[in-house]
Parts: sequence; structure tokens; C-alpha cells
Amino acid sequence: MTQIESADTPHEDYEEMPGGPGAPIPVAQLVGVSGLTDRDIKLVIEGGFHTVESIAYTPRRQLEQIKGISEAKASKLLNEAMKLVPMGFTTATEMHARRSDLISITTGSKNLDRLLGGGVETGSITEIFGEFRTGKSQICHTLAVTCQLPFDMGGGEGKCLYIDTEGTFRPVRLLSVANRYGLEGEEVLDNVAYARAYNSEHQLQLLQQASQMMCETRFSLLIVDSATSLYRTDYNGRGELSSRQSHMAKFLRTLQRLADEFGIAVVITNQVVAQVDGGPSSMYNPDPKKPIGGNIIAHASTTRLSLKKGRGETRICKIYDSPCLPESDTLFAIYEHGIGDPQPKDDKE
Amino acid sequence: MLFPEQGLCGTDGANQQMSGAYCGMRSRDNCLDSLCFSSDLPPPIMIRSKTLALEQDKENIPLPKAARLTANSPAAFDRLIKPFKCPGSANSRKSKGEPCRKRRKVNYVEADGGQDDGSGGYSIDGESTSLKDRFPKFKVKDTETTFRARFSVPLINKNAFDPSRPAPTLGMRRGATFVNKPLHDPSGEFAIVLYDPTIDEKLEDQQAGNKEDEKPKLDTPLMHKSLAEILGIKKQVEGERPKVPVVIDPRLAKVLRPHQVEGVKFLYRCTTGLVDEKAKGCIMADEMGLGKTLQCIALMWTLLKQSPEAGKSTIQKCIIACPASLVKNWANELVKWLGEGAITPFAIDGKASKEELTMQLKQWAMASGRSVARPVLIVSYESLRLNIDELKDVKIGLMLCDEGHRLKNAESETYMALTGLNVDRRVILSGTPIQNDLTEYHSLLDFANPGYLGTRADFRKKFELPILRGRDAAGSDVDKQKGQEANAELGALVNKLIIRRTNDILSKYLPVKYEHVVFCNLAPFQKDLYNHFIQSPDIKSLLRGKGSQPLKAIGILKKLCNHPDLLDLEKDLPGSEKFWPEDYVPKEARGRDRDVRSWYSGKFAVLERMLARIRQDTNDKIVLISNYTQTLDVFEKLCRARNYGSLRLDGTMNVNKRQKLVDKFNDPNGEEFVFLLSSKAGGCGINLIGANRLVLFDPDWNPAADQQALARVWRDGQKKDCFVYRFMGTGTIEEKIFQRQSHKQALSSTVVDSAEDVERHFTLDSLRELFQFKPETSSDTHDTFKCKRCKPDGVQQIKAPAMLYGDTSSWNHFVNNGEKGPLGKIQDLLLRQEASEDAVSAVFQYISH
Repeated sequence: MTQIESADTPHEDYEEMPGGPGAPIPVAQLVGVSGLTDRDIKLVIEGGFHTVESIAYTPRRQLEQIKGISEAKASKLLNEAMKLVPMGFTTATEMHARRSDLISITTGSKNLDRLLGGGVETGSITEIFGEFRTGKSQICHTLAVTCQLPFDMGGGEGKCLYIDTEGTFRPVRLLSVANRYGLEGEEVLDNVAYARAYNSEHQLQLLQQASQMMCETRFSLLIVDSATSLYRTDYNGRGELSSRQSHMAKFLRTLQRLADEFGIAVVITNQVVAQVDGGPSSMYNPDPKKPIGGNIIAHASTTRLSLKKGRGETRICKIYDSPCLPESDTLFAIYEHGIGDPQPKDDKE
Repeated sequence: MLFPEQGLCGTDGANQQMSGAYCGMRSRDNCLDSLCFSSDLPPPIMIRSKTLALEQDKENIPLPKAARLTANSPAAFDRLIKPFKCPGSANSRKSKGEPCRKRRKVNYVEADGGQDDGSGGYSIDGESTSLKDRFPKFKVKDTETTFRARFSVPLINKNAFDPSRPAPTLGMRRGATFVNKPLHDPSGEFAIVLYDPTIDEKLEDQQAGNKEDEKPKLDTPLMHKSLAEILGIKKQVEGERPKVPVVIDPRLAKVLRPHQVEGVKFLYRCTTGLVDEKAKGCIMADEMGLGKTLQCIALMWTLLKQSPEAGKSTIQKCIIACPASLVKNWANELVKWLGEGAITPFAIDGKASKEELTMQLKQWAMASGRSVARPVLIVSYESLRLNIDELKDVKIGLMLCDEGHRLKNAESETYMALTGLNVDRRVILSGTPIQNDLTEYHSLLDFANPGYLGTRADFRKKFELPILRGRDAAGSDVDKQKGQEANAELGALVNKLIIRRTNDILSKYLPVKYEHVVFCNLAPFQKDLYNHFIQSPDIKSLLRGKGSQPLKAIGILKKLCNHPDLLDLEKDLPGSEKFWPEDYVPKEARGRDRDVRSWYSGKFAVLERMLARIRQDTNDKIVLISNYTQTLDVFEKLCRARNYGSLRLDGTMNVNKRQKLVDKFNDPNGEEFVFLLSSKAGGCGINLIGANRLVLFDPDWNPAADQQALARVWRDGQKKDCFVYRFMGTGTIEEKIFQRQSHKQALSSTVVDSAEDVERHFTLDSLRELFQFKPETSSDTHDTFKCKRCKPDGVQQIKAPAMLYGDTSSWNHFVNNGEKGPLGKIQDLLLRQEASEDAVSAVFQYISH
């Protein structure tokens, strides 16, 4: 298979997989195991499953729906995949040890990193929402560069995959951020895979491609800017609400699967909606805003950050939801070289 | 003339909007200037598009003069399907003479809920309008191959990154990223290896082996399996990994001097338990200016990043406790030595509010592993004590206590609070670990290694009493013997946990330091007042043991020695009016006369001549230090009267301002050549290398305080030869204080420096002489030495064979007997000029090398 050949590098001793250590096992490994043929594997890959993990993480029903895969084949696949991928219980000690070594990708702002406990966590979905011009896309642009940094500089040592639905992607911004970190502009741009999504179906389909690309080389970050804007217009009214939500749920599920499979950080942005009917809080809040996507997106994202505009170039970031971070906020700023800390004012004597 | 689009408006509003939007876009690109208008697309459309919002209201109202065309009309249709022609070539009507069209301002204020701040985001100003032009356009490569290309970190400096190192696993993925390799190359050119597994591990093995033998193995059947065993995830790799060397970061290794390398090695071995398993704390007691800070930063950085197990760190969090004025300084030092961005310290500088601080501390306490964004907490002792609750349960790998002699009192709240922290390794930094007595020494050691020396009472019985008895000049030989034994025993226990190097090492790197003890005769007026006071009934009753306020009396005498103006003569010295010279006016009655009458004080007279000489002949700068802010007031007046530029730093000044003031003074182009410093406020940590002269105007009871103050000038970075003067009033209480200081310092040097040849100075009885005044002597201190090198008239015959810094009896002694005398030949020009005056009675001189 191509991905195996591409791994033909001098550092063979510790690197059997193209994505580097910790990368998932390609499906090709299953060839020949308990009667699975080359053709079966090909069908599976065409069905959008590129790693053994992805098979192991998928319910049997879905595997059966792959063209050309019979019920028997599906369960065989699943059994073999389960053997290769550890999916049982583990101790909290082990979890703690692994979480302690969890790589986070720096946002460029020390304040923000502190708030997030090091940066954007890999292996989980981080949602950023806020009004326009609150810095959502700017954070995305900065992260697209910092994820390529060596890990002792706060990076993830991997490429970035950028899915853009609003047409706001500007490579120039990446170059100025790259300058700040002393990175080679051309290589930085080469390491970012960009796709424009034109409708919600397309957006989901891009993730299948993403999965394939991640099998072939090391990625550390997947950005969807913004995850919900297409759904907002592709579906209309209450009548389509449930289909919209279930499609969105599927999309988010796929994102989560990618995060689990490859350990990448997933960053999605979200838009907000004004709460005109006024919830109970509208009495105190003159301008209530709520992230869209409802509960589906709220439950799917691990960490939710709410952005607000501050004075001048400063922005306020607030932890809206997180399994372990305390609810608090901090200031960061948007500069020409990306996200940074607000410049300290001259000491007030 | 017809306006076809206008005609369309009624039927096809969307179309018009689109063209409007199109025009808007073009205008945004500032392209309009280059566009000209043909008759087909007349200008009104463009104008209309600009005021679209207004226009839309009127959309359906036909303009009165325009003839209507409907979409059905063939003429309109013709025009619509005509191919597009660039409007312009035919028409040059709108060429020049008109101002550029300005882009309509889009106001987001309403949209933003009325938050008006006039600025949004980073602004692209004039020069950077074409952001895209500032970067080159790269060649586009084939997407397929680019996407499949192996990832490499796109650093410009390829050497900064080691590509053979495995990339880390992301997220919760498991994978073997482990590579058994030290962080820095141990065989590099300048590599300094702190831990070498080939040497150090053998020792450990032996020790471990011994323990194994003692404990017979119990083969009890396993009744309870651990969860990990049940799940079969017991770690097999553990213990099999060979250890790797620990090497100091090359960027630090480059700047470390040989004695500092030794210091870091010592610190590392102590804190990792290689010296003594039970004692992981130690005391870094190098004298001032040897770079304690740098050594500790090197230790901290190494522990934070490396350990004998590859890829793991020894500690995760570190606290640096220091005086409030040094918090900023430490943060700066971290950047200075480790470089920008290497480490983000969490400096509590008092800017954050109480709630904010508590929150941040909680966050800090919670973080672990990689999510420790700020591994180093820099905090003042006071804030640490106040916020101790937040930090109680945190596991802290290393604590550095700068100016650690603050912890000398085991009963103080700070001490109690700090011992309550869960700290593995404690390092005390102090240039002066023994200040007053051995109990304080015990406090420090007990803090560094709780329980190592036993309780306080044990320590007192076992070591302190014998040593003190042995040092008493009236002690018997047996006592002396016992004292030495106790001293040796204490030394054996403690010396491996303490490192102390004296300034002598520095002399290789620093210019020569001339230190002088200048004995100044009191002025006649002072002398009269002094005699009057010590013969007053108050003092007499005090000496009989009846008086209640000896400290007040001492204070008055000390102030009197500085300048009579420091006192309120009528109140403090009742009955002294008869000694007032004719020109004396009490302070309150002087009105606007600001002049300082320096001739009332011997010391001031000397100082005034010195300042005048410095100003006249040199471009040196000078630091004046006193214990009393009142004295500083008089200095300030003197400087103002003589037009000398001066800066003043005392306890009233806030911490941020202090650093600015110091920077201003150290600037070589600065106007001010006099720096007034209160020894209490500025004693520690401040760097005044802009000056090369320093006057310590009055002695403090605590020799360490004086030592700290004296070391402000002669330290790393000093380029000129340094002259330090300590002023003493001849025969006065100041000399007594100075003598007591020598006693304390000698105590410190026997224990800490284990110097053998410190002569024993005092019997306990002599301490009662505090209130005697000996105006006739040239130096009372010199008299107590019974100096064998000087003739009875005070002229030194034999030069000191070796000068010991802590022992003034071994210094060069000069007595002032006129210009032809020895003082007329002293190296320093400021003191040479005093030979012709009679203000200075004697000088002790110490030359660093």
C-alpha cells in the first residue's frame, strides 16, 4: 500500500508508521488475518475507513452498510480490529499519567495558555464561539502555525488541516505568524492543507478525505472555521431542525472519531445568535448572545470558549464549559503577528 | 439620456442590488480612480449605489424625468444582452481635478451593542495596506505530493531542532516515543555533566544492595490483586530503562564561571540526594557577588527539564521566595539567563487584586504535567505567608529562599508557614547565613532539612553551648577543647550541605577593592554634647542597672555621632544649651536657611571634602548609606546646597520605582553622582555598579546588614577600582558597635568558614563599656587589638602578612599624624587629603588583591 511505502525513511528504528509513533494502524494490517482479502480491505477503505481504529470505533451496523461487505465480514473485521486496538478498562493512574503528558498546542498568548492549562488540548474538540471580530478566525490562523512547532516550544509537530466555510482563510496571516516564531514561510504554508466547504454535505465529506490524509502523514490539528455556518443556511425552519441536528451530530461525531484515532486537536468555531425572545438572563444582560447548534454541539465539544471584544485590540476569553478548567476569563490581544498578550500599560504609580 | 438600470429597478430590484454590491466591492478596492465611465453606464448609478440604503426606500418611485423602460421593452433587452465592454477607453471625462473617492465608513458601533472604543483589531496602517505584498509568492507544488510529504518542523534555523528525536504522541494515544537519550549531548565541547550514570549509579546499586540483604523477602501469597494486575497493564518497562546523563543546558554552561559550575554541581548533588539520602536541602552561602542567583537558576532549569530518566523532569513546580523588592529582579534574571520565552515565571508583583491572585494560585496549584504553564512561582515572603492556604497541598519540587537569613527565627510566622509547605527540596540562598548566633544557624539548617540536626534543645546542648564556651576569652582550656570538638562534629554533619565561597574567588574577575574603616574625630561641639550626655544622671542610673531605656540612649548617641541636627537638642539633651556655639541656631528657628553646617560633625566635614574632591577631580559616582532616613535628609540638603545631583532610595518608595531609580543612576551619562540609600530599604539585591565609591555612614548592630550594603558596588559588572569607606566616630559608641560586629562576624567565620586563625577578641565584660567615651585615642578598636604590628604611637611597622576580610586586626593600620605620616601615602586620594586636616584620626585599610 502506498502509505507503507511512503514511510520509507532513515529513522526506521522507532517509526514503523508514517504518522510517527502513536499513529493509528492502517487497515492494510488486517489483510490476510482470518480470511480478510485485499479486496475486502479496498472496499473498506472506499467506505471511508482508513485505520483499524476507525473500524474498531464504529458500530457494526455501519460497517454492514459498506458496499460489498457482508454481515459476516463486518463482524470479522470488527473482531480483528478490536484485538489490535485496546478498548477495555484501564486504571485512573494510567489515565492520569497519560493526561499529565498530554500535548497542548499554544495559542500564542501566555494568558490564554494559562487559562487553558497549556493551550489547546490534543485529542479533544475545542469550540470557540463569539460574535464577529472577536478573534475566532485569528485564533485559528495562529494555531495553524503553532501546531507545527516543536513540542518544547508549545507545538504539536504536525501538519494542520483547515476547513473553511466562510471564505475567511488568509495565508498571509499564517506567514506573519510564522515570522514571529522563526519559521520558514513556504514550509509553513506547505504544511497546511486547506479546503473550502460549500455545503454541509461537502463539509462532512471532507472529513473522510481528512482521515485518509492523516493516515499518510502526521497531522496535529484540524480546524473547522466555522462548523455551523453552512448548517445555518442549508436547513430552514423548525421543520428541518431535527434533520439538521442529526446531520450536525454526525459531523461532530466524525470529528471526535478523528481526534480519538489520530490524537489530533480539533478546533471548531461557532457563530452566535441573539436571544431575542429573552431568556431569564436577558433581564440582566442587555445583549444576550448564545452559541448556535443547540445541545448537540454543546455536548460534543469538550472545551467551549466564549470570546468577547475588549478595548482596542484586546479580547476577552471565558471558559464556558470544561471538564476540568475552572470557570474564569482572561485577556488576550490580536496583533499583526497573531494572538498575543495585551501589552502591559505603563506602571501606574 | 436614458438610464436603463433605473428602469429595471422596479421590476428587478435584486439585479440592481447586485450591481450595487459589485460597485461597492470595486470601490473598496480603490479601483474607481482608474475607471472611467462610458455613456452606457452613466455615473448616477455609481452614486446611487453609494447611498443604497437611502435609495432603496424610493426604489419604486419613478424619477420624474426618466422615461420608464420595462424589461419587456426591446431596447432594454438589447442593452442587457450586449457583451460587457470595459467602461473607460472611450470616455476620459472623469480624469482629474476631483478628489479621490473615499471609502464609505462602515460603522459597526450599532451592531456591537453601543460599545464605542473607536478601534477594532489590529490596524493595518498606511505602509502595511498591502499585507500580501510584504511576503513573497511561493511556487505552488503538486498538492498530492505535498500532502503526503513527511512532516518536518519548518524552523528557519534547522540546527535548533533535532529531527532524530521522535515526535510526541498526541492526545490520549499511546505509543513508544521513548528514546533513551540525554536532553543535551554529554560529550559536547562545553558540556558540564551533573549526573553520570556510569559513576553515580554504581554507588546507588551498592547502597540498594546493602538494603536488600538486610530485608529478608517475604513470600506472602497475593490475596489482593491490584487493579492494574487484573487488567494486565502492569508496566513491564519500568526499571529496565538505563539512566542517562544529566547535562547543564549549553546556553547556561557557556556563561557559568568555574566556581559557579562547582556550585551547581554541589546543588544538584545535594538536592537529588546523592550526598545524603535523608537531606535534600542545602544552603548556598556564597558571599555576595558570586552569582548565587545564576547558580540557582541553572539548578532549577536542570531539575525542571531533566532527570536521570530520559525525557522526564525531576520536578514540576518551583517556588522562589524572596524579599518583595526582588520579585521583579528574579523574573528579569530568568529572562536574562535563559532567554526570552524559555520559561514563563508566575511573579506575584502585587498588581493583581486579591481575588484574582487567589484564583491564579488555585490554577497554579491544580495544574500538573504538561499543563503547568508557569512552572516557577516567584513570590515575596509576605505574600507567600498570606496565601499559604492555596498552596498547602501542592507538591512542590524545589523551593529557593533568596536572602534566606530571613528564616533565622524559627518562631516567626513566615518560618512556620513555609515549613508547612509540601516541598521536596529546599535551597537557602544567603550571603550571610550566621547573623547573630548559632540558634539562627540551626533554624536555617532545620528549615532546609527538617529534623536532620535534631530539635533546637538538642542542638543547643550538643553544639551551641560548647562552641560558645570555647570562644569566650575567659574560658578554660577544657572548654576550648570541647568547643573545638563540638565544632568539628557540627562541621562534619553540616559542611556537606553548605557551600560557601568567599569573595576572594571573585578578585580574579573584579577590579581591586580598597575598603577603609575611617575613624573620624568628633567635632568640638559634638564632643561637648557627647560628654554632657554620658555624664547625665539618666545614663549614670542606666549604668547602675536602674534605667529602663538603654535603647533610646543608644539611639541618641548614634544620632549625635552622625550630626547634632538629627536631634532635638532641647528635648533630647536637656541642659546642653551652654555648649552651643555662637552660630548655632536650633533647627526650628532656622527658617529658610537650608545650609548644612557640616563643621558641627566630624564625619560630615570629611564627607563634604570627599564629595567636593570627587566632583572636582573625577567622574566617579558615590553611594551614601545610612541607617537613618534623617541622615539622608541632611545628605540631601547638603547636596542641594552644593548643587550636586542626587538620587534617594528609602523604604517609602514603591518597588516599581526603585528599579527605575537604580537604572537611572547606573546610566553612565546620568547627571546624578550621589546616590542616597537607606540601608534597611536597599540593603539587599540592589545593583549599583554605576558607582565605584561607597560610604557607610554609620554601623549597624547586625554585621550582615552592613555586609549586604557594602556589596552593592563591588560586584559583577564593576569596571573601576572600588573604594569603600565605613565611617566611625573615634572613641564613641560606634566603635563599640563595630567591635561587637567583628565578634559576630568572627563567630560566623569559625562556623561557616571554619577559619582557624581568627583571634579571640572579647571577654563578656568588655561589652559593658558601651557607654564609655575615649576622645583622646586615635582608635579604640585598634587599642583593643593590642596590635603587635604597630608601635605604641600607632605607626604600623610590619605590613599585614595576609589580610583576612572578616578580621580588621589583620588589615593595614594607618594613623593620622600629619601630611608626612603614613596617611599621607595611602593609595586613595580622598583619604590622602585628610592627612592635612585633623578630622580623621586613623584608618584601617583592606585591599582585595
